[in-house]
Amino acid sequence: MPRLIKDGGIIDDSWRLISSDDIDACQPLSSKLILPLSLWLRLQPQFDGFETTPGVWIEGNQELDVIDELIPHMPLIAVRFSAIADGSGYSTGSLLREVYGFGDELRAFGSLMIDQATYLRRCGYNAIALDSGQQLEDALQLLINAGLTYQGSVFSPRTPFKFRYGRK
Amino acid sequence: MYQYDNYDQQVVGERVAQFAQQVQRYTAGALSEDEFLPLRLQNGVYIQRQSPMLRVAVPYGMLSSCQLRKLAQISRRYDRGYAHVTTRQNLQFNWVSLQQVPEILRELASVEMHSIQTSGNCIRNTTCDPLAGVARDELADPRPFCEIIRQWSTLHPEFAFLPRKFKVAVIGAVEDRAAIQLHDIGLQLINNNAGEIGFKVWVGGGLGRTPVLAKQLREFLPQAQLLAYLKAILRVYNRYGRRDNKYKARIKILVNALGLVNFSAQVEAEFERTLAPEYLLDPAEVEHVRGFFLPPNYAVVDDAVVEAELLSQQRQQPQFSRWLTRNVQPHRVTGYAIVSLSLKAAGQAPGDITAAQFEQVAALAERYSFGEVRTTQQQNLVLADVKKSDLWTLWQDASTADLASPNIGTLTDIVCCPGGDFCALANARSLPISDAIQQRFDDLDYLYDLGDLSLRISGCVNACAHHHIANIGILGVDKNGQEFYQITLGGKSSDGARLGKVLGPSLPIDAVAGAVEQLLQTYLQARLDPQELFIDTLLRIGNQPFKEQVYAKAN
Repeated sequence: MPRLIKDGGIIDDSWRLISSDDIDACQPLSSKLILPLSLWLRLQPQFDGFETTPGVWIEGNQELDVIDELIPHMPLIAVRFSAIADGSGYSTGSLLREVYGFGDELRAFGSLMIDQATYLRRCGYNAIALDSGQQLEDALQLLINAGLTYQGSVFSPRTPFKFRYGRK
Repeated sequence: MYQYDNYDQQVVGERVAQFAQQVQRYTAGALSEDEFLPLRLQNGVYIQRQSPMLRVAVPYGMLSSCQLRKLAQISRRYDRGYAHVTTRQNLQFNWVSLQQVPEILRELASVEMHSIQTSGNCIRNTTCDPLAGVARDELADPRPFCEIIRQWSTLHPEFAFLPRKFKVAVIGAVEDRAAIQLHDIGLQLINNNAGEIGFKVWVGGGLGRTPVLAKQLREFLPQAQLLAYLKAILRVYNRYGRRDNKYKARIKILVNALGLVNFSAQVEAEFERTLAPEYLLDPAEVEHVRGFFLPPNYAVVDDAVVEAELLSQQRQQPQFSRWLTRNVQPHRVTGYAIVSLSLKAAGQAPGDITAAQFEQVAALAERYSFGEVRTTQQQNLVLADVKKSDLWTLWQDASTADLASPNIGTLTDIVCCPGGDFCALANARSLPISDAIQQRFDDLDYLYDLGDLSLRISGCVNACAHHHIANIGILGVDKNGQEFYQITLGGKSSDGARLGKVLGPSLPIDAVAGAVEQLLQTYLQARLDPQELFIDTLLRIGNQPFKEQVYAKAN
């Protein structure tokens, strides 16, 4: 079973991510799948008997207003990073937490490297799936040893001098 | 100037350790070229033609004597005994080795300096008016806000992988000496009708392949909301800026594509929905930062006595008089002056400074200007707080250090990128052009007769020397493997910033200095009187007479 970083530890990934829009690939349909948004929307009528819906994955630059009513009901939202240099997903993650109030698993996957782990966490991602070849243990160490920041995180943002003025 | 507290020191220290580890992984083959690229760029490391280049941040251009001495030491130990002042007030070492970069960063950190975000697709060094705090036309000092923006943008988790680089400039004066309209975001400190301080906000300026002047986005932004508003702009850009074509990726392209009204509506909507108290600057917080930029302990001076003395010194030494005219500006405090140290001596690559000069400037700053110096976008240095009674000895000391060329604002105050001699992006060399122009126009009387005139040379369309905003801009282009140069005329950088227009077909390297001479002759023949500046004559008569003269000669 693939493993990933979640909430400060490395765990087995109990979800199966369906990467394409191929309906056959997601049979049997279960709530432990992560479906691409278009497929999730197509299959939505079939989720009726499920205790929770399947998770969904979206592109880093997905327009969120078109799915805002679905967001609170998602058990998991995964955001795909199309390239190491494509940082649109950092804003998307921040928006999901800050504006849409999404409280469940927010997962980053795609083209990522361990050096981006601390940025991802500060933008609200509590789960990070790395491509093969990237060391989860190394990424976890970076998260554990993450240094000081000037901005805090999307969960507890602050201005740079928040706790520093008044005592030079 | 700003001084690190333990917090800043730790942030920078941790970053140095992190980069050291990244270099190690790259060297060991654990990071591919592609993976290492954004990491090294975000630490200011470029791979140039002959050697890696390290760009060091000089936040809003401020340097202390202690930092200058460290830079001298670094340039001797790790480079070839000199560095280069860039058009964004930073410094570049052109001959470092990648393996030694972590060590250099440790040295820099020991004097409160770093290279964080000096390149890459992230928020770059915030630039500022080089006369901040001392200019007569200043409403409020922009530097406290520059420092707040520096910290806020440093390792910002959301904006480290933007579609493209992102540059912010801040001014607090009436005259724009920081070219804010050529930045992704330009901020001007102003008062509103109630007398409260805030910012006029400009967005979407930039040079490069598609030069655009920024447009006004907000008439008045209260100072408390600065960071919240910057976040809203950056977030809209990060979500909707193009990533499919690097030449279409700057925010200026997004602003133009959406139209200012639509872009503004998106920013305001984003701003409204995420405006939480946590993002607001507390007045006490701003006051705390302002405390680092208070005026120094100026002496009370009898200006009449000093002026009389200066007059007699000028009579004694006409060269001193020239230097006063070109390199010294009025200060807001009676008895003080602002002095430019020219990094444009004949035979010197514009903006280059040797290790010995770093040390000499450190000594000059200590002796004459409260131990501080500023870098300028024009690639010179400024001593901002010089007693007028010290000008005579300062001039002598600066002359000894070859820093007193009386050419500030003249034709030979050339702004120039490192060009094809160093830069892997360049299409053509820029330094030989600069050299040829300096050699051809070495007659000071002629230069003074020409008056204020800006000339900038970029080695490629990335336009690091900002040739579009020069009265005379020169751009290196590649024509079938040959170096050619395109001339633009009519650019302006300060108030009423203006982009130059291409004069005509590009010229071969040996025709450029001659063409410049033709331009100058056209001006001298056409000007109404010696007070009419080159740019004013040009705007009055248009490009055509200049074009005819240059191409008649070339043909």
